[in-house]
Amino acid sequence: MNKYGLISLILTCVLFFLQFIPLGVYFQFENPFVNSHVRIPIQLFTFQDNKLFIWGMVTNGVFQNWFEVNILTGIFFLVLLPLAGILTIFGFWKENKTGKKLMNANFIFLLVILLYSIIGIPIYSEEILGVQFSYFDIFSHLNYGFFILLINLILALIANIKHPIQ
Amino acid sequence: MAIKSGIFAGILALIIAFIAEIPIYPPENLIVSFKIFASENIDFYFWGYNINGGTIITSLIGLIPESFISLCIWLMIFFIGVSSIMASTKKAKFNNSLKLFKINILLSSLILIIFGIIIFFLVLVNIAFFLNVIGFGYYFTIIILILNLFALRSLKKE
Repeated sequence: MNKYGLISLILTCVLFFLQFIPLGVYFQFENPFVNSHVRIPIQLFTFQDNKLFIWGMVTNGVFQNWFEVNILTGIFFLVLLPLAGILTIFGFWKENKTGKKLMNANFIFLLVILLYSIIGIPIYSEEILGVQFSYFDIFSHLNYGFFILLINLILALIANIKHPIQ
Repeated sequence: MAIKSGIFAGILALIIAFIAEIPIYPPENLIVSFKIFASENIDFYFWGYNINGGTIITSLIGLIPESFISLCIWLMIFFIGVSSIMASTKKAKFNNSLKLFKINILLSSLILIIFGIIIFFLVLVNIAFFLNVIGFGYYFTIIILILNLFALRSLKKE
């Protein structure tokens, strides 16, 4: 089993399924049953009232998935990331060359997603945010999600290099 | 064979890293709170602190370097949780598990010393209050340390 691959898979799931990481979780017998005191935001970028997640965008509390906002971003984020996750599910426990190939594919997909987020988002920023960014403007709007994606990419690289082959 | 004490230590560490309280018997308002210590209506947890049961303050999502120490302490307990479980699995390599358990023991001791010093200075006027101030979070950290010691011993025996 490739442990780094498993951690990469967990981080992919966190980015894809969650809006925040709950800390200080407490349980109550009302609705919602589970609540949390602290919420670590996991959006990739924050620009004014817009929060850009992997799964979509939140503007003033209104949720939109990427296909509603920008189809190309939807293809990169909403298709490639689940694909990377699925390949990791099959790859991390296979201790053979197929497993290594799958881990390699996971790394490449994550690299493409990260590159798109820092190159593609500024290109389509007018369509997405209504403001045209220059290339380096995006770096002043990074949020925790971007760093989680970066850590995920590094772990995917380590998982690819250290994949056990029997 | 999987090391049960290591897995149990990992689960405990993850619980105190993420969870504030678990209800035991709601009609009597009986809950287990995972605070490390409490002082003057402020409950201190690994993820932040709770003032008067209402206002929550956390420096985890603050700016670095202000949040660095609290972030490090939270990451330490999270690392202990993950690494204890990973080092206790069947397929874990002996040398790696040995190193991880030693790091876990070192980190949990460090956490206990840091919070021990803080608590000591809080109750300096009257040492008898020591047990009143300490919460389950601190006791669980002691248990995590002990379980990691047991796990290391059973690993060496194997």
